[in-house]
Amino acid sequence: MSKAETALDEDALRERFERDVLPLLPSLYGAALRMTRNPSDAEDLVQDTYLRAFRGFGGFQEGTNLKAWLYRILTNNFINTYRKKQRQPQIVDGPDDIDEWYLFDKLGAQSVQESAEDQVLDRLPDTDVKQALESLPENFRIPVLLADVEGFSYKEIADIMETPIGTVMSRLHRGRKALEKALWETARQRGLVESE
Amino acid sequence: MINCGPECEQTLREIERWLDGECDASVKVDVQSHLSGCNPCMQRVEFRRRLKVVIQTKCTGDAIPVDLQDKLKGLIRSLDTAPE
Repeated sequence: MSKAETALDEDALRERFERDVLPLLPSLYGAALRMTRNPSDAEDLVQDTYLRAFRGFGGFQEGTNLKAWLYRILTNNFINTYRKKQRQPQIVDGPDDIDEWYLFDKLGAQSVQESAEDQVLDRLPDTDVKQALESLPENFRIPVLLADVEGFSYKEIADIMETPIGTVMSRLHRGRKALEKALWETARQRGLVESE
Repeated sequence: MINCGPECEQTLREIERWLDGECDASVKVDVQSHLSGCNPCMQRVEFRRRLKVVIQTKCTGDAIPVDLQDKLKGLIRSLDTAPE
């Protein structure tokens, strides 16, 4: 291939990258924020992710799952680089003693009117819900983030996290229960529900 | 767990996967047919559905740093695509 042809290819690749990958920035930045829990690390993580993605974009097969591909780079990058940098203790065990219908039962015990459970949830400020999610240990937070915020399937999450699908399902289940508990605590602190 | 029959228990065990759209077709039919006749289970399912929506809507919409998109564009344009 001539130099001119190579340059032409590169321009086309760059154009395609800017057209297809850059628009995913808002959701990717949000995910990076939930992972790193601070804006400056999130920005670094996003920049790094885009750099790596661009370098690997030539090998990405058009028509396959672009968003999952990008999130896999993000997640890998976070786990291998930023987690170490943040020096957070890696908590492997999650809470197991939370009832199956924790939040429903707690809120149900409170309410007098029908649908009051929903109202408590609706009245929680966005920042509180974000903080509740961010309070989860990382190996539970990431599957919940990928499933409930980003809408990935179990299979996609398994690919992104490079873990078996059974592990994804169990972490997702336990992570959601932990999130219900964190949301209850938040609602209590906000005075949206009565303390027991 | 609520005080109800084995069919409720069976249904509630599948609810998480059902709401995630990850159930087998036959399970999906069973869950749907149970829910159409069981209000207590339906209330729980509706609650979880709402919860998922609340999490999804409230954990998005973070403001991106103003110059980030331009920074990324600049970064990409400064690179060539030669493999590492």
